[in-house]
Amino acid sequence: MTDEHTKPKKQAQPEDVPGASGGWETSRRGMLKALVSLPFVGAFAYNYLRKRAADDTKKRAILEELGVTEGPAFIPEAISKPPSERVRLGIIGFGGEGESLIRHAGFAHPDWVEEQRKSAAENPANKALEVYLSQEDLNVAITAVCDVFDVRADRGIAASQVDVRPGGGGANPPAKRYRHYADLLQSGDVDAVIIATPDHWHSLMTTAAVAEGVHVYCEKCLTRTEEEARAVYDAVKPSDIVFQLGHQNRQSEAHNKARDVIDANILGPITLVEGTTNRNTPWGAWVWDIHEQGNPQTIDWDLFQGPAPNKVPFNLERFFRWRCWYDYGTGLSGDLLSHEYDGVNQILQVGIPKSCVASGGLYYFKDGRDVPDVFQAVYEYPDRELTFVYSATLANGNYRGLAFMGHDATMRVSGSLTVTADSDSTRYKKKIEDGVIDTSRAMFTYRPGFKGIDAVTSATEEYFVSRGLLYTYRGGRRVSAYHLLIGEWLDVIRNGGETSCNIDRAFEEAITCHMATRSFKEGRKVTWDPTRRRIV
Amino acid sequence: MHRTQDIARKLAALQHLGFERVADPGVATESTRVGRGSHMVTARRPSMGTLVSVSTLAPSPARAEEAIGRAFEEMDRLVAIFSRYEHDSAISALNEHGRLDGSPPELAGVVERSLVYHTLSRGAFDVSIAPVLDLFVASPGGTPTAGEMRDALEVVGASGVAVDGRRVNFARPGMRITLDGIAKGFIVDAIADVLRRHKVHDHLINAGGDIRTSGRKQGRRPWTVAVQHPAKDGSYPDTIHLSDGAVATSGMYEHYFDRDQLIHHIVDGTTGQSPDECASVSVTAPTAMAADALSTTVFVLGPTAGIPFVEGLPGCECLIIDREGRQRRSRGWKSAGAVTGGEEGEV
Repeated sequence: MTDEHTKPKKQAQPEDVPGASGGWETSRRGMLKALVSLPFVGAFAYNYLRKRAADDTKKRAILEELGVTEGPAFIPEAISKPPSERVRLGIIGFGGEGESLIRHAGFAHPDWVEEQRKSAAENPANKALEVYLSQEDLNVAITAVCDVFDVRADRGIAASQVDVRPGGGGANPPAKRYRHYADLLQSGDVDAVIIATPDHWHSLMTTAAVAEGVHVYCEKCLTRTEEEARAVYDAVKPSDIVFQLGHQNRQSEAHNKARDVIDANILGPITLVEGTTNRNTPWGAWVWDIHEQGNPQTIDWDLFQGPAPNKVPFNLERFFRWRCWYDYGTGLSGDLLSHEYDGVNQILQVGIPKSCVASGGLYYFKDGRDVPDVFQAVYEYPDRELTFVYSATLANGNYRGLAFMGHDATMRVSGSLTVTADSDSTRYKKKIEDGVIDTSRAMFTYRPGFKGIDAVTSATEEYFVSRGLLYTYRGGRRVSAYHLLIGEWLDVIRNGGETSCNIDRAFEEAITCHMATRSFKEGRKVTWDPTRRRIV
Repeated sequence: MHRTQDIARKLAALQHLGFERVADPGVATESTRVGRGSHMVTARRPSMGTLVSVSTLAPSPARAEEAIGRAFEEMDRLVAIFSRYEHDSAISALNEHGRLDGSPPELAGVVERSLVYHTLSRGAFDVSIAPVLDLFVASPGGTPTAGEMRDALEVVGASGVAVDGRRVNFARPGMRITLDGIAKGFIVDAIADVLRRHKVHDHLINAGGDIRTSGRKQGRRPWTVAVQHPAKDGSYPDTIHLSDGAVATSGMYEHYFDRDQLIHHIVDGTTGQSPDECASVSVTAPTAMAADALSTTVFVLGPTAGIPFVEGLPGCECLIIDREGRQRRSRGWKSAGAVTGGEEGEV
């Protein structure tokens, strides 16, 4: 954009401008015409020429005269009717993830509400409670809770009857506790169920829910094994239930913007994608708290183990830190590779890879676990002429993010998004040479994390603008991704349609993760046979 | 030598930033249900050397998408009129021949309005600066001689531009104009007009930082616009709430011609140097065209003259950030607070 310049030697006094040299200069009549034809500008001119020192009161008066007000000028159209039916929701597994999901469905535990209230009083920047209360009322009732740990089941029941709720909804009757998930599913008390248990239970619970016609929101990873993934897919696919895999990245604004970048072919041919995990804390390595009330009397250990391949005596570490063992999950594959892959699949729609080679080891957290803490997997997509590399360590915090590498540019996606031109790009060669594009800086950035900001005003930037996109989370409102994902699931239950992470996407992800696990465990390259639907 | 060539190259590149037409624009549209019977529909398209986004809140995604599509059509039509880099554009014809009879009404109208701003600003806003800019590009090494500059300045002066109905004339041979400092705002306003005609009253239009808002966003709250920090350090020195209005920013932080970062794209034609007091100027106004023109004007005037100038205009306010990072505001600038860091969502 070319801006203007000043020329004091030619600065005209207002009375100097019109009519000075016949028809070549702006005439007084022309000026008046211009002012008359341009109400805002005319008002500016009138005010400036006659009363340069207009005060705020005068400005407001003129604004009113012009019909320009600073307040709302528009009343939105009538709100459509609310979701017609209340969905009766059950929760299986009320651990950390389960409690979080239920909170985002509109049922925070009373202790959490109180903690956040105190925290906000001490620190106004803490908006967690405000965000919770501003969530859309999803019109659900928590009618059933299932957990093998008494303490957590009690917390679930308390949350189900909380009276501090989005939309000002009052307290609901307490949820009923079920010790066994099958009883919950067969009770007739639930229309839909959230499964937030360790992975080794997902398959049995989901297929049982399908049999009962209960809709399912299942946390990732879909299953612990390939065979279980196939069983779940075969059960869900032909059924009428609505299935959603719990991948909140599906609701990430940055991921959505990344799709825009891909659709616009800004990166050129993409040949390499690198997804990474870097964590460097015990908590990040699944060394989670062991509850002080956890003991054989409060935990149904046999029920917890259930379909786990190796049965062991009661073990608090295994119960509270289950991700550290292959008996219950798939380690980095299912927990964190799944996130990276889901981002790639969401943005590029790559599907199941042709092959995978994985390696790694247990090099740092030698605490009895059997899953690796350093893990790498290389996937090939020959049909897409693309390699996806996943690289992870739980013993280093050097954040590397998710990078899409094209011939013309690299896009990095995390909470934000940046696109940087490649210095040897063909597409941008001319603009790089002309200095329009600086390859040392991002030519496109998007930061969705600035709360409530809808747009940024700035001088026009480089070719593709580094911001200028809307910073809405959803309509300018910060809304949790969990809430959106659950809301989408409930919306599809009520109104039909497709969830963003349906059983097809869930199956692709599960197989992709299991390919890495198989390759690592077997020490060989594995491939996907799409005809037989087998990892070979 | 290499340095001066570099400057010339960057100047040439800069000329094409303002208003290039995109040959094959792709539209990215997304629709998100944000409440009961309420959808946020956002569409983005490269145009005018930037990404233009339109975000609307409407009960019907189809209605919003239809309105946005019509608005983008209108944008394309207007860009074709105002682009100096399209040989068949109306403004190119005007610059080539020094007069244009039967000008598109939009061109005559914007030229006419630019003359009003020229008068209001006592010459600080001058669309006839084009020959000086062209001289920078054409000069060997990017540095025109004093004689060349003097000659160029002889044909600069918006008082030599006349508009009579749909006829636009230049007073002297060799005069040329650029409307890049005002036409983008005009086009943003035109987009808003199309949206309103289609009864999409709640919307935000963002053309690379030139922003126009109408109505409110979800929750009947005003739109929130952040001001870019000149250092682009990830923070926003201020935010404002807008319901029906516009904001635009002129800054020296986007394009430098020299490695010392002294010469940027806003050049004082009398000295050949850039105004050095302001790092950025943001102006709020009832229309995007006004905000667009006034932000450049205030940048040129500097804080001492620029702030009183804006305070004399109804509905207009400004925020200036100087090269030391200090903020100066007009009396009526309504701050909604700075944003100093990103707040990650719970994902």
